[in-house]
Amino acid sequence: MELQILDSKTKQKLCTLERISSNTTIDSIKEIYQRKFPNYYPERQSFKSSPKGKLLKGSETLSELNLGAEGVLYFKDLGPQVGWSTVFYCEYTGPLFVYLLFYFRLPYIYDSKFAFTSSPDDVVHLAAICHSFHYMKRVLETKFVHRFSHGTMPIKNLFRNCSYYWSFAAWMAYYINHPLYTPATFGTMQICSGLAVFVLCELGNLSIHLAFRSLRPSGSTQRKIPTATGNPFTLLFNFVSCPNYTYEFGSWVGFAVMTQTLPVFIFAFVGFGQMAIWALAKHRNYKKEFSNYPRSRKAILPIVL
Amino acid sequence: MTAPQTTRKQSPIAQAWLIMYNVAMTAGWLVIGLGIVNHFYKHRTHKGLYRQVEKQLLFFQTAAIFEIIHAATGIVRSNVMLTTMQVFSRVGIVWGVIQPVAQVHNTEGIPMLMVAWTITEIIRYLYYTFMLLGTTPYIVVWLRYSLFTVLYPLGVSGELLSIYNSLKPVRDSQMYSLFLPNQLNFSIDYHIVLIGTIPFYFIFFPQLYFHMFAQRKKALGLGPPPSPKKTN
Repeated sequence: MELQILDSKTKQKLCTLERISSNTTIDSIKEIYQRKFPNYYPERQSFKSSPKGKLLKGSETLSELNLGAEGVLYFKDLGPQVGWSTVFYCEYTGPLFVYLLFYFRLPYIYDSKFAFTSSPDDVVHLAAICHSFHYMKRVLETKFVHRFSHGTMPIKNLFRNCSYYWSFAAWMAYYINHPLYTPATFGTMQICSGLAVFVLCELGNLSIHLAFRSLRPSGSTQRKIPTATGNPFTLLFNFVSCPNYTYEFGSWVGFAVMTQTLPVFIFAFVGFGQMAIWALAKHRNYKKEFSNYPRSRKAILPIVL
Repeated sequence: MTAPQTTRKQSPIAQAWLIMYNVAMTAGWLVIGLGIVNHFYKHRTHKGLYRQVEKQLLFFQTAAIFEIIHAATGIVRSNVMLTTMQVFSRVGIVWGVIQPVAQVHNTEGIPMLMVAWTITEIIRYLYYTFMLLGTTPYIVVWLRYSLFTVLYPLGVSGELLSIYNSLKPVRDSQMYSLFLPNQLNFSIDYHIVLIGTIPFYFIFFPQLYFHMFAQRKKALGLGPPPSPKKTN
Protein backbone atom coordinates (compact mmCIF):
# COMPACT_ATOMS: atom_id res chain seq x y z
CA MET A 1 0.00 0.00 0.00
CA GLU A 2 0.89 3.64 -0.30
CA LEU A 3 1.28 5.58 2.93
CA GLN A 4 1.00 9.36 3.16
CA ILE A 5 2.68 11.06 6.07
CA LEU A 6 1.08 14.36 7.13
CA ASP A 7 2.16 16.79 9.79
CA SER A 8 -0.26 16.38 12.70
CA LYS A 9 -0.43 20.13 13.37
CA THR A 10 -0.39 21.71 9.89
CA LYS A 11 -1.82 18.68 8.03
CA GLN A 12 0.73 19.34 5.30
CA LYS A 13 1.98 16.34 3.37
CA LEU A 14 5.50 15.57 4.51
CA CYS A 15 6.17 12.59 2.26
CA THR A 16 4.70 9.48 0.66
CA LEU A 17 5.98 6.02 1.43
CA GLU A 18 5.42 3.52 -1.33
CA ARG A 19 5.12 -0.23 -1.43
CA ILE A 20 4.56 -0.60 2.31
CA SER A 21 3.14 -3.98 3.29
CA SER A 22 0.25 -4.00 5.73
CA ASN A 23 2.15 -5.95 8.36
CA THR A 24 4.82 -3.27 8.66
CA THR A 25 5.24 -2.04 12.23
CA ILE A 26 5.41 1.58 13.33
CA ASP A 27 9.01 0.95 14.40
CA SER A 28 9.86 -0.02 10.82
CA ILE A 29 8.03 3.04 9.48
CA LYS A 30 10.24 5.14 11.75
CA GLU A 31 13.37 3.58 10.31
CA ILE A 32 12.14 4.18 6.77
CA TYR A 33 11.23 7.77 7.67
CA GLN A 34 14.71 8.34 9.06
CA ARG A 35 16.23 7.22 5.78
CA LYS A 36 14.23 9.97 4.07
CA PHE A 37 14.86 12.60 6.75
CA PRO A 38 18.16 11.66 8.41
CA ASN A 39 17.82 14.29 11.14
CA TYR A 40 14.79 12.58 12.61
CA TYR A 41 16.11 9.63 14.53
CA PRO A 42 13.33 7.22 15.53
CA GLU A 43 13.22 8.38 19.17
CA ARG A 44 12.02 11.81 18.20
CA GLN A 45 9.39 10.55 15.76
CA SER A 46 5.82 9.90 16.78
CA PHE A 47 2.91 8.81 14.65
CA LYS A 48 -0.83 8.97 15.13
CA SER A 49 -3.65 7.58 13.04
CA SER A 50 -5.71 10.75 13.54
CA PRO A 51 -4.44 14.31 14.14
CA LYS A 52 -5.61 14.38 17.75
CA GLY A 53 -5.35 10.68 18.47
CA LYS A 54 -3.02 8.76 20.73
CA LEU A 55 0.62 8.18 19.88
CA LEU A 56 0.93 4.80 18.19
CA LYS A 57 3.01 2.07 19.76
CA GLY A 58 6.13 0.89 17.97
CA SER A 59 4.92 -2.68 17.73
CA GLU A 60 1.56 -1.88 16.10
CA THR A 61 1.21 -2.91 12.46
CA LEU A 62 -0.55 -0.95 9.73
CA SER A 63 -3.18 -3.66 9.30
CA GLU A 64 -4.15 -3.32 12.98
CA LEU A 65 -4.81 0.37 12.43
CA ASN A 66 -7.43 -0.05 9.67
CA LEU A 67 -5.97 2.60 7.42
CA GLY A 68 -7.44 1.35 4.15
CA ALA A 69 -5.73 1.20 0.74
CA GLU A 70 -4.57 4.81 0.79
CA GLY A 71 -3.31 5.16 4.30
CA VAL A 72 -2.60 8.39 6.12
CA LEU A 73 -0.44 8.71 9.19
CA TYR A 74 0.10 11.89 11.18
CA PHE A 75 3.64 12.74 12.25
CA LYS A 76 4.67 14.69 15.32
CA ASP A 77 8.22 15.74 16.09
CA LEU A 78 8.91 15.08 19.77
CA GLY A 79 11.88 17.41 19.71
CA PRO A 80 15.50 16.61 20.46
CA GLN A 81 15.66 13.61 22.77
CA VAL A 82 18.07 12.51 25.42
CA GLY A 83 18.37 9.08 27.02
CA TRP A 84 16.91 8.43 30.46
CA SER A 85 20.24 7.17 31.72
CA THR A 86 21.96 10.32 30.53
CA VAL A 87 19.43 12.47 32.35
CA PHE A 88 19.78 10.43 35.54
CA TYR A 89 23.58 10.59 35.47
CA CYS A 90 23.52 14.37 35.05
CA GLU A 91 20.87 15.10 37.62
CA TYR A 92 22.49 12.82 40.24
CA THR A 93 26.17 13.66 39.85
CA GLY A 94 25.41 17.39 40.09
CA PRO A 95 24.31 17.22 43.74
CA LEU A 96 27.42 15.17 44.59
CA PHE A 97 29.72 17.95 43.44
CA VAL A 98 27.55 20.86 44.48
CA TYR A 99 27.18 19.68 48.07
CA LEU A 100 30.93 19.23 48.44
CA LEU A 101 31.57 22.80 47.27
CA PHE A 102 29.70 23.94 50.37
CA TYR A 103 31.07 21.19 52.64
CA PHE A 104 34.62 22.24 51.91
CA ARG A 105 33.55 25.88 52.25
CA LEU A 106 35.01 27.05 48.99
CA PRO A 107 35.73 30.81 48.92
CA TYR A 108 33.01 33.38 48.23
CA ILE A 109 30.22 31.18 49.58
CA TYR A 110 30.61 32.12 53.23
CA ASP A 111 32.58 34.89 54.89
CA SER A 112 36.20 34.80 53.69
CA LYS A 113 37.54 33.96 57.13
CA PHE A 114 35.73 30.59 56.91
CA ALA A 115 37.10 29.58 53.51
CA PHE A 116 38.38 25.99 53.53
CA THR A 117 37.61 25.61 57.22
CA SER A 118 35.93 22.57 58.70
CA SER A 119 32.84 22.42 60.92
CA PRO A 120 33.33 21.45 64.55
CA ASP A 121 30.03 19.56 64.57
CA ASP A 122 30.14 15.82 63.88
CA VAL A 123 26.66 15.86 62.40
CA VAL A 124 27.86 18.13 59.58
CA HIS A 125 30.40 15.51 58.51
CA LEU A 126 27.79 12.78 58.91
CA ALA A 127 25.43 14.76 56.70
CA ALA A 128 28.04 15.09 53.96
CA ILE A 129 28.55 11.33 54.04
CA CYS A 130 24.81 10.61 53.94
CA HIS A 131 24.06 13.07 51.16
CA SER A 132 26.96 11.80 49.07
CA PHE A 133 25.99 8.19 49.75
CA HIS A 134 22.43 8.88 48.64
CA TYR A 135 23.46 10.29 45.27
CA MET A 136 26.27 7.79 44.73
CA LYS A 137 23.74 5.05 45.27
CA ARG A 138 21.48 6.67 42.70
CA VAL A 139 24.28 6.82 40.13
CA LEU A 140 25.15 3.17 40.70
CA GLU A 141 21.52 2.14 40.50
CA THR A 142 21.25 3.95 37.18
CA LYS A 143 24.22 1.95 35.90
CA PHE A 144 23.45 -1.46 37.34
CA VAL A 145 19.90 -1.74 38.59
CA HIS A 146 17.29 0.26 36.72
CA ARG A 147 15.62 -1.00 33.57
CA PHE A 148 13.85 1.79 31.71
CA SER A 149 10.70 1.13 29.73
CA HIS A 150 11.19 4.29 27.67
CA GLY A 151 14.45 5.00 25.89
CA THR A 152 14.38 8.79 25.78
CA MET A 153 12.78 11.97 27.02
CA PRO A 154 12.64 15.50 25.55
CA ILE A 155 15.85 17.41 26.13
CA LYS A 156 14.20 20.24 28.03
CA ASN A 157 13.47 17.73 30.80
CA LEU A 158 17.23 17.45 31.26
CA PHE A 159 17.55 21.14 32.07
CA ARG A 160 14.45 21.21 34.22
CA ASN A 161 15.42 18.11 36.24
CA CYS A 162 19.02 19.19 36.74
CA SER A 163 17.90 22.63 37.91
CA TYR A 164 15.65 21.01 40.47
CA TYR A 165 18.23 18.62 41.93
CA TRP A 166 21.23 20.89 41.74
CA SER A 167 19.46 23.94 43.18
CA PHE A 168 17.97 22.06 46.09
CA ALA A 169 21.32 20.40 46.81
CA ALA A 170 22.95 23.84 46.92
CA TRP A 171 20.20 25.27 49.10
CA MET A 172 20.41 22.45 51.66
CA ALA A 173 24.19 22.32 51.59
CA TYR A 174 24.47 26.07 52.17
CA TYR A 175 22.73 25.86 55.53
CA ILE A 176 24.08 22.55 56.78
CA ASN A 177 27.68 23.62 56.13
CA HIS A 178 27.19 27.20 57.26
CA PRO A 179 29.59 28.48 59.93
CA LEU A 180 26.51 29.52 61.94
CA TYR A 181 24.88 26.06 61.69
CA THR A 182 23.01 25.00 64.84
CA PRO A 183 23.03 21.24 65.58
CA ALA A 184 19.92 19.30 66.64
CA THR A 185 18.02 20.63 69.64
CA PHE A 186 17.67 17.16 71.14
CA GLY A 187 21.29 16.34 70.58
CA THR A 188 22.73 12.90 69.93
CA MET A 189 19.39 11.11 70.35
CA GLN A 190 17.85 13.17 67.58
CA ILE A 191 20.86 12.82 65.32
CA CYS A 192 21.02 9.05 65.79
CA SER A 193 17.33 8.45 65.22
CA GLY A 194 17.42 10.63 62.11
CA LEU A 195 20.43 8.69 60.87
CA ALA A 196 18.79 5.35 61.62
CA VAL A 197 15.68 6.29 59.67
CA PHE A 198 17.87 7.49 56.81
CA VAL A 199 19.91 4.30 56.65
CA LEU A 200 16.91 1.99 56.92
CA CYS A 201 15.07 3.88 54.20
CA GLU A 202 18.11 3.86 51.91
CA LEU A 203 18.26 0.09 52.30
CA GLY A 204 14.52 -0.12 51.79
CA ASN A 205 14.65 1.97 48.64
CA LEU A 206 17.49 -0.16 47.25
CA SER A 207 15.59 -3.35 48.10
CA ILE A 208 12.56 -2.15 46.17
CA HIS A 209 14.67 -1.19 43.16
CA LEU A 210 16.23 -4.64 43.15
CA ALA A 211 12.79 -6.23 43.49
CA PHE A 212 11.51 -4.24 40.50
CA ARG A 213 14.51 -5.36 38.49
CA SER A 214 13.97 -9.03 39.17
CA LEU A 215 10.28 -8.58 38.37
CA ARG A 216 11.02 -7.71 34.76
CA PRO A 217 13.05 -10.04 32.52
CA SER A 218 16.04 -8.43 30.82
CA GLY A 219 15.25 -6.63 27.54
CA SER A 220 11.49 -6.79 27.96
CA THR A 221 8.97 -4.12 28.93
CA GLN A 222 6.58 -6.61 30.48
CA ARG A 223 4.77 -5.59 33.65
CA LYS A 224 3.74 -7.82 36.57
CA ILE A 225 2.13 -7.17 39.94
CA PRO A 226 4.99 -6.46 42.38
CA THR A 227 4.94 -8.54 45.57
CA ALA A 228 7.11 -8.98 48.65
CA THR A 229 10.24 -11.10 48.16
CA GLY A 230 12.49 -12.72 50.76
CA ASN A 231 13.87 -9.29 51.66
CA PRO A 232 11.88 -7.94 54.64
CA PHE A 233 12.10 -4.38 53.30
CA THR A 234 9.88 -5.47 50.41
CA LEU A 235 7.03 -6.28 52.80
CA LEU A 236 5.99 -2.65 52.21
CA PHE A 237 4.59 -3.90 48.88
CA ASN A 238 1.73 -5.32 50.91
CA PHE A 239 0.72 -1.75 51.74
CA VAL A 240 1.69 0.44 48.78
CA SER A 241 2.26 0.16 45.05
CA CYS A 242 5.39 2.34 45.06
CA PRO A 243 7.32 1.62 48.27
CA ASN A 244 10.45 3.00 46.62
CA TYR A 245 8.90 6.45 46.83
CA THR A 246 7.77 5.83 50.40
CA TYR A 247 11.32 4.93 51.41
CA GLU A 248 12.74 7.88 49.48
CA PHE A 249 10.49 10.27 51.40
CA GLY A 250 11.50 8.49 54.61
CA SER A 251 15.20 8.92 53.84
CA TRP A 252 14.87 12.66 53.41
CA VAL A 253 12.72 13.02 56.52
CA GLY A 254 15.39 11.12 58.44
CA PHE A 255 18.05 13.39 56.97
CA ALA A 256 15.95 16.46 57.85
CA VAL A 257 15.52 15.36 61.47
CA MET A 258 19.20 14.54 61.71
CA THR A 259 20.32 17.92 60.37
CA GLN A 260 17.34 19.91 61.74
CA THR A 261 17.38 22.07 58.63
CA LEU A 262 14.17 23.55 57.22
CA PRO A 263 15.25 23.48 53.56
CA VAL A 264 15.70 19.70 53.87
CA PHE A 265 12.14 19.35 55.16
CA ILE A 266 10.93 21.49 52.28
CA PHE A 267 12.88 19.33 49.81
CA ALA A 268 11.37 16.19 51.35
CA PHE A 269 7.85 17.52 50.99
CA VAL A 270 8.27 18.90 47.49
CA GLY A 271 9.75 15.56 46.45
CA PHE A 272 6.88 13.80 48.13
CA GLY A 273 4.40 15.90 46.19
CA GLN A 274 5.93 14.91 42.86
CA MET A 275 6.33 11.26 43.84
CA ALA A 276 2.74 11.14 45.06
CA ILE A 277 1.56 12.27 41.63
CA TRP A 278 3.67 9.56 39.98
CA ALA A 279 2.59 6.92 42.51
CA LEU A 280 -1.11 7.69 42.07
CA ALA A 281 -0.74 7.35 38.30
CA LYS A 282 1.21 4.08 38.56
CA HIS A 283 -1.32 2.77 41.09
CA ARG A 284 -4.19 3.63 38.75
CA ASN A 285 -2.41 1.87 35.87
CA TYR A 286 -1.81 -1.24 37.94
CA LYS A 287 -5.46 -1.42 38.92
CA LYS A 288 -6.52 -0.96 35.29
CA GLU A 289 -4.07 -3.52 33.98
CA PHE A 290 -4.58 -6.23 36.60
CA SER A 291 -8.12 -7.13 37.62
CA ASN A 292 -6.77 -9.07 40.60
CA TYR A 293 -4.71 -6.18 41.97
CA PRO A 294 -4.73 -6.24 45.79
CA ARG A 295 -7.45 -3.87 46.89
CA SER A 296 -6.02 -2.92 50.28
CA ARG A 297 -2.90 -1.46 48.65
CA LYS A 298 -2.50 2.29 48.49
CA ALA A 299 -0.25 4.27 46.18
CA ILE A 300 2.49 5.78 48.34
CA LEU A 301 1.52 6.07 52.01
CA PRO A 302 0.17 2.95 53.77
CA ILE A 303 -3.55 3.26 54.54
CA VAL A 304 -3.52 6.98 53.81
CA LEU A 305 -2.73 7.71 50.15
CA MET B 1 -8.02 40.14 33.85
CA THR B 2 -9.26 36.62 33.43
CA ALA B 3 -11.49 35.26 30.69
CA PRO B 4 -15.11 36.36 30.90
CA GLN B 5 -17.13 34.26 33.25
CA THR B 6 -19.80 32.19 31.61
CA THR B 7 -22.75 30.65 33.29
CA ARG B 8 -23.05 27.16 31.93
CA LYS B 9 -25.39 24.73 33.63
CA GLN B 10 -25.25 26.76 36.83
CA SER B 11 -26.85 25.81 40.06
CA PRO B 12 -29.15 28.70 41.03
CA ILE B 13 -27.29 28.99 44.36
CA ALA B 14 -23.99 29.42 42.54
CA GLN B 15 -25.50 31.99 40.24
CA ALA B 16 -27.10 33.89 43.11
CA TRP B 17 -23.82 33.86 45.02
CA LEU B 18 -21.84 35.10 42.03
CA ILE B 19 -24.28 37.91 41.35
CA MET B 20 -24.15 39.00 44.98
CA TYR B 21 -20.36 38.73 45.01
CA ASN B 22 -19.85 40.80 41.88
CA VAL B 23 -22.42 43.41 42.88
CA ALA B 24 -20.77 43.73 46.29
CA MET B 25 -17.31 44.04 44.75
CA THR B 26 -18.51 46.66 42.27
CA ALA B 27 -20.02 48.61 45.13
CA GLY B 28 -16.89 48.23 47.26
CA TRP B 29 -14.54 49.54 44.61
CA LEU B 30 -16.99 52.37 43.86
CA VAL B 31 -16.75 53.36 47.50
CA ILE B 32 -12.95 53.29 47.24
CA GLY B 33 -13.21 55.36 44.06
CA LEU B 34 -15.36 57.92 45.81
CA GLY B 35 -12.88 57.98 48.66
CA ILE B 36 -10.06 58.76 46.24
CA VAL B 37 -12.02 61.50 44.49
CA ASN B 38 -13.10 62.98 47.81
CA HIS B 39 -9.54 62.99 49.12
CA PHE B 40 -8.12 64.75 46.08
CA TYR B 41 -10.99 67.25 46.08
CA LYS B 42 -10.39 68.15 49.70
CA HIS B 43 -6.61 67.94 49.96
CA ARG B 44 -5.21 68.22 46.40
CA THR B 45 -2.36 65.86 47.30
CA HIS B 46 -1.74 62.14 47.27
CA LYS B 47 -0.41 62.36 50.81
CA GLY B 48 -2.90 60.81 53.21
CA LEU B 49 -4.73 59.06 50.38
CA TYR B 50 -3.79 55.57 51.49
CA ARG B 51 -4.82 56.15 55.09
CA GLN B 52 -8.16 57.44 53.83
CA VAL B 53 -9.00 54.30 51.84
CA GLU B 54 -6.92 51.70 53.68
CA LYS B 55 -9.68 49.75 55.40
CA GLN B 56 -11.83 49.43 52.27
CA LEU B 57 -8.82 48.53 50.12
CA LEU B 58 -7.65 45.81 52.49
CA PHE B 59 -11.15 44.36 52.68
CA PHE B 60 -12.14 44.39 49.04
CA GLN B 61 -8.77 43.49 47.56
CA THR B 62 -8.42 40.56 49.96
CA ALA B 63 -11.97 39.42 49.16
CA ALA B 64 -10.72 38.71 45.63
CA ILE B 65 -9.40 35.43 47.05
CA PHE B 66 -12.93 34.17 46.52
CA GLU B 67 -12.25 34.27 42.80
CA ILE B 68 -9.66 31.54 43.22
CA ILE B 69 -12.31 29.39 44.90
CA HIS B 70 -14.77 30.21 42.12
CA ALA B 71 -12.29 29.03 39.48
CA ALA B 72 -11.27 25.96 41.51
CA THR B 73 -14.86 24.82 42.08
CA GLY B 74 -15.70 25.50 38.45
CA ILE B 75 -18.61 27.86 39.02
CA VAL B 76 -16.60 30.36 37.03
CA ARG B 77 -14.84 29.25 33.87
CA SER B 78 -11.37 30.64 34.53
CA ASN B 79 -7.95 29.09 34.67
CA VAL B 80 -7.20 28.39 38.33
CA MET B 81 -3.46 28.94 38.08
CA LEU B 82 -3.82 32.23 36.25
CA THR B 83 -6.45 33.51 38.66
CA THR B 84 -4.34 32.48 41.64
CA MET B 85 -1.29 34.30 40.27
CA GLN B 86 -3.23 37.48 39.62
CA VAL B 87 -5.01 37.55 42.96
CA PHE B 88 -1.86 36.66 44.89
CA SER B 89 0.13 39.38 43.17
CA ARG B 90 -2.43 42.01 44.19
CA VAL B 91 -2.86 40.64 47.70
CA GLY B 92 0.92 40.36 47.94
CA ILE B 93 1.46 44.03 47.08
CA VAL B 94 -1.26 45.17 49.48
CA TRP B 95 -0.28 43.05 52.49
CA GLY B 96 3.41 42.61 51.74
CA VAL B 97 4.53 46.03 50.52
CA ILE B 98 1.98 48.73 51.22
CA GLN B 99 0.20 47.92 54.46
CA PRO B 100 3.26 46.96 56.56
CA VAL B 101 5.59 49.71 55.32
CA ALA B 102 4.37 53.10 56.51
CA GLN B 103 7.04 54.96 54.55
CA VAL B 104 5.40 53.83 51.31
CA HIS B 105 1.97 55.29 52.12
CA ASN B 106 2.66 58.79 50.89
CA THR B 107 4.85 57.93 47.90
CA GLU B 108 3.89 58.49 44.27
CA GLY B 109 3.26 54.87 43.38
CA ILE B 110 0.22 54.74 45.66
CA PRO B 111 -2.10 57.11 43.79
CA MET B 112 -0.96 55.54 40.51
CA LEU B 113 -1.91 52.01 41.50
CA MET B 114 -5.00 53.15 43.40
CA VAL B 115 -6.42 54.92 40.36
CA ALA B 116 -5.51 52.07 38.03
CA TRP B 117 -6.85 49.31 40.26
CA THR B 118 -10.03 51.16 41.22
CA ILE B 119 -11.15 52.00 37.70
CA THR B 120 -10.17 48.56 36.44
CA GLU B 121 -11.99 46.70 39.20
CA ILE B 122 -15.17 48.76 39.05
CA ILE B 123 -15.48 48.04 35.34
CA ARG B 124 -14.41 44.40 35.68
CA TYR B 125 -16.93 43.55 38.39
CA LEU B 126 -19.62 45.53 36.59
CA TYR B 127 -18.86 43.53 33.45
CA TYR B 128 -19.14 40.21 35.32
CA THR B 129 -22.39 41.32 36.95
CA PHE B 130 -23.92 42.10 33.59
CA MET B 131 -22.64 38.82 32.11
CA LEU B 132 -24.36 36.95 34.93
CA LEU B 133 -27.59 38.85 34.39
CA GLY B 134 -27.52 38.01 30.72
CA THR B 135 -27.19 41.34 28.92
CA THR B 136 -24.00 43.34 28.77
CA PRO B 137 -24.15 46.91 27.48
CA TYR B 138 -21.52 47.41 24.79
CA ILE B 139 -20.08 50.42 26.63
CA VAL B 140 -19.06 48.15 29.53
CA VAL B 141 -17.41 45.68 27.16
CA TRP B 142 -15.67 48.51 25.37
CA LEU B 143 -14.41 50.07 28.60
CA ARG B 144 -13.20 46.76 29.95
CA TYR B 145 -11.21 45.95 26.85
CA SER B 146 -9.96 49.45 26.11
CA LEU B 147 -9.02 51.22 29.35
CA PHE B 148 -6.49 48.52 30.19
CA THR B 149 -4.21 49.96 27.52
CA VAL B 150 -3.57 52.90 29.84
CA LEU B 151 -4.48 51.47 33.23
CA TYR B 152 -2.37 48.33 33.07
CA PRO B 153 0.96 50.15 32.53
CA LEU B 154 -0.13 52.75 35.09
CA GLY B 155 -0.88 50.11 37.70
CA VAL B 156 2.30 48.15 37.07
CA SER B 157 4.37 51.33 37.30
CA GLY B 158 2.68 52.23 40.58
CA GLU B 159 3.40 48.76 41.94
CA LEU B 160 7.04 48.79 40.89
CA LEU B 161 7.51 52.26 42.34
CA SER B 162 5.94 51.16 45.62
CA ILE B 163 8.16 48.08 45.82
CA TYR B 164 11.20 50.26 45.11
CA ASN B 165 10.20 52.74 47.83
CA SER B 166 9.71 49.93 50.32
CA LEU B 167 13.23 48.51 49.91
CA LYS B 168 15.16 50.82 52.22
CA PRO B 169 12.61 50.78 55.10
CA VAL B 170 12.37 46.97 54.82
CA ARG B 171 16.14 46.57 54.87
CA ASP B 172 16.50 48.91 57.83
CA SER B 173 13.74 47.32 59.89
CA GLN B 174 14.63 43.73 58.88
CA MET B 175 10.92 42.97 58.83
CA TYR B 176 9.67 39.51 57.79
CA SER B 177 13.24 38.29 57.90
CA LEU B 178 15.03 35.49 59.71
CA PHE B 179 18.76 35.43 60.17
CA LEU B 180 21.28 32.78 61.22
CA PRO B 181 21.98 31.32 63.67
CA ASN B 182 18.60 29.80 64.57
CA GLN B 183 17.18 26.36 65.27
CA LEU B 184 15.64 25.97 61.83
CA ASN B 185 19.01 26.50 60.14
CA PHE B 186 17.16 28.68 57.66
CA SER B 187 17.36 32.32 56.68
CA ILE B 188 15.25 34.65 54.61
CA ASP B 189 15.93 38.29 53.84
CA TYR B 190 12.65 39.97 52.92
CA HIS B 191 14.53 42.82 51.31
CA ILE B 192 16.09 40.36 48.86
CA VAL B 193 12.75 38.64 48.29
CA LEU B 194 11.23 41.99 47.26
CA ILE B 195 14.10 42.72 44.91
CA GLY B 196 13.54 39.23 43.52
CA THR B 197 9.96 40.04 42.53
CA ILE B 198 10.97 42.95 40.31
CA PRO B 199 12.30 40.94 37.33
CA PHE B 200 9.00 39.03 37.16
CA TYR B 201 7.20 42.25 36.32
CA PHE B 202 9.43 42.70 33.31
CA ILE B 203 9.07 39.08 32.29
CA PHE B 204 5.30 38.86 32.54
CA PHE B 205 4.12 42.37 31.67
CA PRO B 206 4.74 42.20 27.89
CA GLN B 207 3.08 38.78 27.59
CA LEU B 208 0.02 39.74 29.60
CA TYR B 209 -0.30 43.15 27.97
CA PHE B 210 -0.25 41.76 24.45
CA HIS B 211 -2.53 38.93 25.46
CA MET B 212 -5.05 41.58 26.53
CA PHE B 213 -4.78 43.17 23.10
CA ALA B 214 -5.59 39.83 21.52
CA GLN B 215 -8.54 39.44 23.89
CA ARG B 216 -9.64 42.93 22.92
CA LYS B 217 -9.67 42.06 19.23
CA LYS B 218 -11.87 39.04 19.95
CA ALA B 219 -14.23 40.77 22.37
CA LEU B 220 -14.78 43.85 20.23
CA GLY B 221 -14.93 41.87 17.01
CA LEU B 222 -12.04 43.74 15.45
CA GLY B 223 -10.16 40.83 13.94
CA PRO B 224 -10.66 39.30 10.49
CA PRO B 225 -13.95 37.39 10.30
CA PRO B 226 -13.54 33.65 10.93
CA SER B 227 -12.93 31.79 7.63
CA PRO B 228 -15.82 29.59 6.45
CA LYS B 229 -15.29 25.86 7.00
CA LYS B 230 -13.46 24.24 4.09
CA THR B 231 -15.45 21.57 2.30
CA ASN B 232 -13.47 19.00 0.35
